[in-house]
Amino acid sequence: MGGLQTVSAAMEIAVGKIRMRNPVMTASGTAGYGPELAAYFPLDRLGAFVTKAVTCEPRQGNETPRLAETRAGMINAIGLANVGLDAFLAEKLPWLRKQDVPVIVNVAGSTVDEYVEVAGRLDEADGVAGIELNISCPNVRRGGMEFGRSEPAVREVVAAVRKAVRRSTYLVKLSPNVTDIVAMARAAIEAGAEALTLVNTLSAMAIDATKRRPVLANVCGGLSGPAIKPVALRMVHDVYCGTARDAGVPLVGVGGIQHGTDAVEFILAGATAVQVGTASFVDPSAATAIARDIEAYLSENGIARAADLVGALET
Amino acid sequence: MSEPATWQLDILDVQTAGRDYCRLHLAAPPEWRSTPGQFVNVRCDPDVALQPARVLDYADDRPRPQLQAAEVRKRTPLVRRPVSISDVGNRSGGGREIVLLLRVVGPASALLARKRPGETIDLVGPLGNGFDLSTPTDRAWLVAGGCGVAPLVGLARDLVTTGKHTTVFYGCADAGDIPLDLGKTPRKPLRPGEPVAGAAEFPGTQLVVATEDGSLGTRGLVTDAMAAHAAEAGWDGVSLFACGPDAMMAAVADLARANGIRRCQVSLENYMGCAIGVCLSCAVKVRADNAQGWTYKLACQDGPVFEADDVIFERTWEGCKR
Repeated sequence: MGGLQTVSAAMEIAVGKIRMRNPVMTASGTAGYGPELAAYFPLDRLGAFVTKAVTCEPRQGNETPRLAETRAGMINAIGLANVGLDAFLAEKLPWLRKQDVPVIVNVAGSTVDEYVEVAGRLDEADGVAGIELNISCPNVRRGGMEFGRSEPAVREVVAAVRKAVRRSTYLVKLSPNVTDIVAMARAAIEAGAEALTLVNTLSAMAIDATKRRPVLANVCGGLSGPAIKPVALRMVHDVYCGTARDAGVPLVGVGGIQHGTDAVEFILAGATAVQVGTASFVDPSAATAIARDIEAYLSENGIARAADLVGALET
Repeated sequence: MSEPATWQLDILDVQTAGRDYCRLHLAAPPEWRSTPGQFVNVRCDPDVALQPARVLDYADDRPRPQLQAAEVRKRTPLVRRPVSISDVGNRSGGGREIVLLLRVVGPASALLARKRPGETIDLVGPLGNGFDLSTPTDRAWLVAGGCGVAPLVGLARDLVTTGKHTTVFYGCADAGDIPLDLGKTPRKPLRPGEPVAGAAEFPGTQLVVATEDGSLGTRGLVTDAMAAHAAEAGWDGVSLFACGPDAMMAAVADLARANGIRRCQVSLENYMGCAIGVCLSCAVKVRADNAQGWTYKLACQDGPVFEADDVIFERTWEGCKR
C-alpha cells in the first residue's frame, strides 16, 4: 500500500465542497465499501470513493441470476443489497475514514422519509464528504427510479433531503430512463442539488431464447458498460449546455468509461469529474489507470489543468 | 495461499481434451500459492487480432497494421470469466505451472481455447476459499459433472498424498465427453459403480464414470454410480467433495444426507461480474440463524466451496436453481 502517488496540481478539481486530487471516482455499486478494491490499489489514487448504496435497513437484494453479459455491456439486477445504515456507520465508515480519500455515500430509499433519515444521519457522521442521492436505481420495486422519473417527484425528494444535508456536498444521481433529462436536472438543481451525477444504468433486459425465459430472475435490469457510453455522453452534454453550465453546478459523468480517452470525452462534454464502474469488474485497478491516462492527455496536449478541459468541446 | 492480484502469465501449452474442453498450462509466478478449489478470473482477449502479422502473409517488409491492445479490448467479451484452477505442479524444465481446464461453451471460452504457447493470459487470482482438506476421515469421494472435474485433479493428489483412500466419480453425457486421459487400452464392460482402469490425471485413485447414454461405465447419473459403488464398498468413513452443476450438487447433497455422510463440501458454479466481492452478482442462498432462516453469501468471496448442508437448493421447472 502507499507507494508512489502522483500528486499533480493540474489534476486537482472540486465538486461542490469536495476537493479531489484527480477527476476520477468509483461508481456506486462497483467498488463495495472500499477494502475490496484496496486489495488491488491504494484508494488514495482516487479523486473520491463512492460507496455501494446504503438504505435504512439491511437489504438482501434480488434473487439470482442477477447479471447477464450483453454485447459490449452487462445488465445487472442486484436490487440494492447492502448492510444497512447502522452497520455502515459502525463497520464500514471507520475503515473508509482512515483512507486518504474523500468518501461519498450513495443513499437510496423506498420513501422520502427513508432518504431523509439516511442522508441526515450520514451527514452528521465524521468522514462523509458527500451524499449521492440515488433516485435512479431501476432494480427495486418501490422507490429508486420512481423518484427520478418526473419533475415533481425529483423536486420533492431532492428538496426534502436538502434540509438534512448540511455539511457534506449534495450530489443527485439521475436516471437516463426519462423523456427529458434536462428537465430532471433542472428540477434537481432548483431543489438544491450541488452537483449531478449522470447517468445511472439504462433499463434493459436479456432473454434466453433456448429456455424462452428472461436471463435475470428480476426479468429486467440496468445496462452498463461501453454500450451505454454514447447515450451517457449525450446526456452530460445536454444537461451541461441546457442548465448546469449557467447554474454553475458541476456534473459527474458516468457510463461505460473504460479508458482515459472515454473520461476525457465526458469532461469535454461538460463533466467536472467522472465515475468508473463496470470497468472495475474487468480490471480492478481500472480507475487508477484512467486517472493516469487523463494526466497523460493533459501533458500531451499542453493543457495546464483538468479544469480547463471541462465543457471545452468545440462545436 | 497468496493474496489475489492481477497477473500476466505466459502460456506454456494448450491442449484439447475430450470433445469440448481445453487445458491451458501457464507459467506460475514463484510466489503463487493456491489451494484446490480456488479459481482465477480470466480476461478473454482475441489473440489473433492482437497479432495480425501472424495471419496475414506479407510478401514485403512494409509496416504491419498493429492494433493497440486497448483497441482490441473494446471488441472483446466484457467481463472476465471465472475458471477453476485444475492443478498447480512442477514442470519438467524447472519452475511450476498452473493448469486450467475449461469447457468451450461460448465466445469467451472459444477465445481462450485459441490461445497459443508464447502468448500471455491476463488473470486475477487466486480467488475464493477452496476445499477444506482437514476432514478427519479415511475415505474421500470426489464427485464431478462436466467441467466440475477441474478442481478435483489437484484436490485428489493432495488427498492421496495425505494417505486418504480416494475415489473419483465423474458424470457426463457420453464417453467422448470426458476431458480425461483414460489411456488406449480397450475396456471391458463395467458393472454399475465399477471403477474404470484409471485416468492419467488421477494417479492413485479409483475412477468411476457414469454416462447418460451408457457408452462408458454406469448408465445414468453420477449419483446412480455412487449408490451402486456404495452398495459394495459401503459409506463408512466417507467424506464428499463435489463440483458441478446445481442439480448435481443438490442430488449429491441429498445422497450424503440420506447416508449419514459426516461432511459434504460442494463447489458451486455461478455467474460472476467481478469475482472480487463488489458486484454482488454471485449470491448463494445459505441457511442462517435469523428471522427468515437464510441469507445470501457470495460465491466469489465466501465460496465457491460451501458445506452442502448450508446451501439452499431450490427446485424449479429447470431442475434446480439456487
